[in-house]
Amino acid sequence: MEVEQIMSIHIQDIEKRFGGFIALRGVDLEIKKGELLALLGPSGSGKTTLLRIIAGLEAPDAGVLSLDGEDAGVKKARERGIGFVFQHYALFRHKTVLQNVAFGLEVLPWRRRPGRNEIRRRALDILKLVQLDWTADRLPSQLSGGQRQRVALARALVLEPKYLLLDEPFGALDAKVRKELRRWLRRLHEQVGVTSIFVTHDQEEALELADRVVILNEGRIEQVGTPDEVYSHPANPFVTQFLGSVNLFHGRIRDGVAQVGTWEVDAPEHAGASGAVFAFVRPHEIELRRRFIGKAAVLAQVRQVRSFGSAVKLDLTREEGDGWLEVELSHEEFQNLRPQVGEWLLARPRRFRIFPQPSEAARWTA
Amino acid sequence: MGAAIGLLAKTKEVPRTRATTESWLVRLALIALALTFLFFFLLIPLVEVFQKAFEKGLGAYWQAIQDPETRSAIRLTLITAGIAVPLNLFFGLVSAWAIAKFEFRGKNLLITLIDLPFSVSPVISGMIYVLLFGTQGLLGPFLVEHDIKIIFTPVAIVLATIFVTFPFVSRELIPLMQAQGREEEEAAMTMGAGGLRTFFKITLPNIKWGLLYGVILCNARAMGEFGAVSVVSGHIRGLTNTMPLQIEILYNEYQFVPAFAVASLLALLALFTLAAKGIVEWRSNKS
Repeated sequence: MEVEQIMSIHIQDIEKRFGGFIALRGVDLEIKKGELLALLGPSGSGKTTLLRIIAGLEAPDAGVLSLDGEDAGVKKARERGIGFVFQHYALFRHKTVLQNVAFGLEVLPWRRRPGRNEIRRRALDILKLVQLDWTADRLPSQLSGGQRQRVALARALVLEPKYLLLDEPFGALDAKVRKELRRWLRRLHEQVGVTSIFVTHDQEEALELADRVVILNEGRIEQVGTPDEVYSHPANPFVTQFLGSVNLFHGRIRDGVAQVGTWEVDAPEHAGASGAVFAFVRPHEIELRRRFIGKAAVLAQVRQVRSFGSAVKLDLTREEGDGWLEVELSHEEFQNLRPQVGEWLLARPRRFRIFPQPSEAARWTA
Repeated sequence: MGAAIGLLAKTKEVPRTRATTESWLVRLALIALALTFLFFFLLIPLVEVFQKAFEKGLGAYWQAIQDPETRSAIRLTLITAGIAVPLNLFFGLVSAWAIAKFEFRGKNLLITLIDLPFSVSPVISGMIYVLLFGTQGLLGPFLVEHDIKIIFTPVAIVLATIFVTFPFVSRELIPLMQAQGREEEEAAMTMGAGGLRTFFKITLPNIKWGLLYGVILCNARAMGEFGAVSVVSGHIRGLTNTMPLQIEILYNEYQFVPAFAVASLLALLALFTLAAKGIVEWRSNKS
């Protein structure tokens, strides 16, 4: 993002609880002007609550939210200049598509409200932007899921909001439509340039679409960064496990060197730590051979081979202890090796991600 | 792909097979049983009401309805419904709104309380008012002191009717509003609409058919209520008799033609209600 690096939304120490459930436990976040930000996390992580607080649909119990440098605590939802796209679209079911989109203009205070023809023109313009002007006179119930989603977007954009907030925007759509809409939203964002935040539990969606990803868990932010940063350099075991499949090994660390099974792994970043560690290996970071010369490896039996898409996925069981091993081979590697179900092979991780085991170990391994 | 779609379309058209339906004999027997039951227990009595009412000709029917006491009973019934229905429309809307759209303490208690008039016998509902407002009642001394009469006046009839018909509108709206959720209202608010505008432009159009349905049922019950009204009325002729009470009095005096004439009016109301209910259901299914 070479665009002006101005902080647009400033969130400081926001807390929120619903009865006994703590949704947010002190969240700090800065959102840049014009960026497309993903709030990613499992259900119950507080991501939707955070979005609704920014929108003014919920009030935080503690903390400060400022929009463009102004404290938003006293501003009602309708005074914040936000466009909100709801998970289930929340289109007005008794209004036509055009009436849905025009609603925001019709309820403007009369001094700022454009004339009837102007309202119609602007609503149609924005419908053209989402390529749905031909549905103007239909009811939402006559549209497909993907079309409804785009109407909801048009409706949120018609007031030219400063912030576009989307709650699980593609959650209710099937995989193909989801992919198309994702690409389409990315283009729209480049075209309109409005600061946008979307909530998702789909890590692929967040990584593909967003400029930056915020990973939330149990009401806390685990990591903030570009898709590449969070995927390649996860800050902790949770992020590692949440962003894609991972194999877990156990080991111990001392003086910056982790002992994982028969492997010795350098981990200078944890030089001060000692004790138990988690060692994570992504499926594509494992080598499978019939024999390794002079290198340590573990013995594992092939249980299942799933060959589709860009890679071949193998499920293996380890000879000792820790259960399953998931391995991803390229088709070329697979053709060279030709592993059979039931066959015993040697597996060797190319790379480990070492994290000292926290005392409350249960939190990560669940 | 094309073949797969063709297959799907075909399976949709396949008629119900023996596996999914009963034999024609069972179906016929069930339908016949239901129709016979309806015929003897609903249709014959209804026809009987009109037959008795017109037994002595149109003139006698007209005269029976022209009777001043009967006319006063009709008027009181209309006034009672005219007060009770709008009030319960308002209360019902407010309570359903509160229950369906907000979380608060004591919500379940409120739902139970709304159902109370349905769960107690109407006679007991009437007794409650006597116990409250009667001369021997809780507020009796206060009312006597200030020379306010409630029991055995039309006021008591209106109060009892409001109590008995309270649940109709809210019971109809609560499930509807709960199913519709809050998202549309929230969407309207993020787009700048205030509370009142949101209610009239978004909420009300979404619930209008359910609301009308509740009002129709509420009105039918308000006009037809007997038990609760009977207890608080005192049966003062020409003053505190509603149509159902007037029917009973006439019947007990062996004035069959007038009794059934008034009864036929209530029966007509019932038929009208059924028709209106049917239309509303049809419209709400369509929308």
